[in-house]
Parts: sequence; structure tokens; C-alpha cells
Amino acid sequence: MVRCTCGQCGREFAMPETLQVGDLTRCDRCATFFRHRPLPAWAKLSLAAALALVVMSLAWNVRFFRAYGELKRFSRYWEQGDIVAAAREITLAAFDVPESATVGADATFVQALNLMRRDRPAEALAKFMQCRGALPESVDIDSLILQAKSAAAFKARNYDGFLLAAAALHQRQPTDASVEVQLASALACKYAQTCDTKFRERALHCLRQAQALPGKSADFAEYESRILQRIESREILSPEEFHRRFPQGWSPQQRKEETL
Amino acid sequence: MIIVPGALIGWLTFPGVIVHEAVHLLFCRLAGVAVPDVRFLRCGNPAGYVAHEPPTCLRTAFLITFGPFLVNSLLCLLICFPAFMPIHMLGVTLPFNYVLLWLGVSIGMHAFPSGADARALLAQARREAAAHPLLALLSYPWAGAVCAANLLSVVWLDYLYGLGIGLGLPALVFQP
Repeated sequence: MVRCTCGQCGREFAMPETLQVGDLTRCDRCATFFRHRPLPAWAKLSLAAALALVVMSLAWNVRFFRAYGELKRFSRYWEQGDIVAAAREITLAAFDVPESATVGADATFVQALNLMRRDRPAEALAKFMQCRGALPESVDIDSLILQAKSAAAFKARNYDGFLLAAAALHQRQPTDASVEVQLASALACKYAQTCDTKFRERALHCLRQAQALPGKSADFAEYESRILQRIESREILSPEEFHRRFPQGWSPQQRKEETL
Repeated sequence: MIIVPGALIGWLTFPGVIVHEAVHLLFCRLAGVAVPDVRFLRCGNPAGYVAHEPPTCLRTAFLITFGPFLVNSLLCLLICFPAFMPIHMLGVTLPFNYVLLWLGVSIGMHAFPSGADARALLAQARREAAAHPLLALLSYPWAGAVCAANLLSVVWLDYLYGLGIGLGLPALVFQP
């Protein structure tokens, strides 16, 4: 047994061997304390706070993770050309992240495109106007607005408005076959409405121009036959009515047969 | 010239010092290693320390060296990942997320153990290499890395590590 003084508390004690902790000799009581040194309450609180921060960080940002997933799915659907699913996903993302002006504008834009596809141009126009100025310059929003305007005017039987929007669009994109044929459609409407042959001649001229242009869409021929039917009959049919009456399509030859 | 801003950064990241020392103390308790003195935060270099008796076995030495590093790194990752994503991916800048990032990166910046702990681990690994070859094999590179990190702390490697874990990794994972 060795008699020694604790370097920590100054107490004299006897031990079979001296216990060195650090540079000092400690008594058994002090050594036990050091081996089980308690964490101060505030340090425990700090650790608890660090763990709470992990939970808070996840909980606070969970909607952003949801939005991230929705935006990833949106990109996939967009690349696949599935506008309906893409619009659904980006709308959900915009709902989850109302702070993001970019996501909001993108969502409005895709919703507008979806409305255009569902033949609801007036609502699409309102959406296009809403996101105007918030989209990248690569998006030709003004042309889309004119397209929506012309489609909305046609649906409302406002043929002056239709012609105005189609002509403005033609000025922006003079070499686009679909724009050329849209102008032909507006002129054909005006001919049907006024019987002014000036509109008829211009409509036929635009059709010839459109035929000569490259990059015609798959439904070009059908659109062309609708315009020719409009000029021939001076009757303005909606696409649905046209399909109902002429399920096999329409040609000038058919018109001759009809009159006979 | 480097010491002054380094100390300033040390103070700016004080939550990391407190967490590191608290976790270090916890691991010492867990291993039954006596801790005669502990400072969770103080003026000077180091900003905090846990003075403990030399570990008696390799397992203990590895635990009290690697444990705080692992806990600090994990806390940094788990706090920063969710907070960084909205800023990086969605451009959403909420003040609370910046607070979370500061706390997370601060904890990450103080993940590395001290050089003294690494040297103690190295000595223990040499002593017990035959008894615990696998743990010794892990301990050599780990202790070497800690020694190197301590040397390179003059060029703020420890702070760069916190930034890398807290901001760099999420930026790598979340690609636009």
C-alpha cells in the first residue's frame, strides 16, 4: 500500500498502486469521477439541439424534396411529349414551392400549353399573359400569345380578331408553314363572312405559299382541306363539325359531286 | 497572417467546437477513459479540448479518435443536405436554411480529431498490430490522414473539409 495525496482534491489516501490520470495522482473517488465525467447540462442540450437540427432540417425542407421529385418527373414527361402529365407534375411543384417565381412561371406556361392542346385558347391566353416576362428569352411567348389570341378569336367567331392575330403572327414568322396556313384560314373566314373575293384570292395565295414552305406538320393536308371547303361553301365549320360531316376528308371533287 | 482569420473562423464556427468536444467526451465516457480536464469553448488555440488519459487498448484509441469525426461529419451532412438543396436546385433562399447551413458547416469544420489523439492511436496500433491486425490496418491510414489534416490545417484544410461535406457533396448529388 502506498500513501499518496490526490492531485485533484488534495485528500490523502492509501492505494495498492498509484493511479496516474494525466500528470497527477488521483484518489479513487476523483478517478471514478473522471472516468464517468458527466456532460454539463448545457452541453447535453447542445447535442440534443444538434440532433433536433437534423430533424428540423429534414422536416422544414421536405416540401422542397417533394418539389425536386416532381420537377424531375416533369422533365421526363416533357421530354416524352406528355404535356398533360408534365403540366400535372409542374403544377404540384409550383404548389409545393410557392416562393420560386421560376417554377411558378414554368408551371403557368405548361398549363397554358396544355389548355391550348385541349382547345381552350381563351384560358390559355390568360395563362400566357400571366407568365409573360418571367420566362427565358428562348421561349417565344409573344408568338404563343398571338396563336392563343387567334384561336380564341376563331372560337368566339370574331373573324376580324382572328385575322388581326394571324396577320401579326405571320409578320413575326413569315416562313412558317403552319403560320401561313393559319393566315389562309383567317382570310377564308373573312371571305365566308363578307363574300369579298379579295379575301378569297389572298387565302388561296397563302395556301400556295404554305405548300411551298418546308416543315409542314402532319395535319397540314387536313387543315388545307378545311380551308378549301370553307372557301367553296362559305360555311365556317369548327374542326369537330368538319370531321362529323366529312369523316373521309373533303376535296374539290367531292364538292362537285355534292352539287350534282 | 493566417492565424488571425483562422481563429476568427474558429470563433464563427463555435457550435462545431462545442459539438466536437461534447461528442469526444461522450466517446471517452463510453470507453471508460478518464477525462481530467475538458473545455468546450475557450479563447485561444485550440478553441476547445478534451484532456484524457492515454487509451489502454487499440479499440478504445480508434473509437475516441474516429467517433467524433464520424458524428460531426454525419451531423454536417444530415443538416446541410436538406438545407442546401432548395438554394442550389430551386433558387429558394430562406433565411432559416442559411442558419442551418452555418450550423451544419460549422459542425463539419470541427470534425477532425487532434494530432495528439492520432499519435496515440498510431502508438497503440504499433503495439497491438499482432493482436488486432485488421483494426491496426485501418488505424494506420486513418491516423496518417488525421496527422496530415492537422498539418494542413494551416491552409484551412479542416474548414475546407466542412465546406466540402456541407456544400460540395450536396452540389454533386443534386444536379440540375
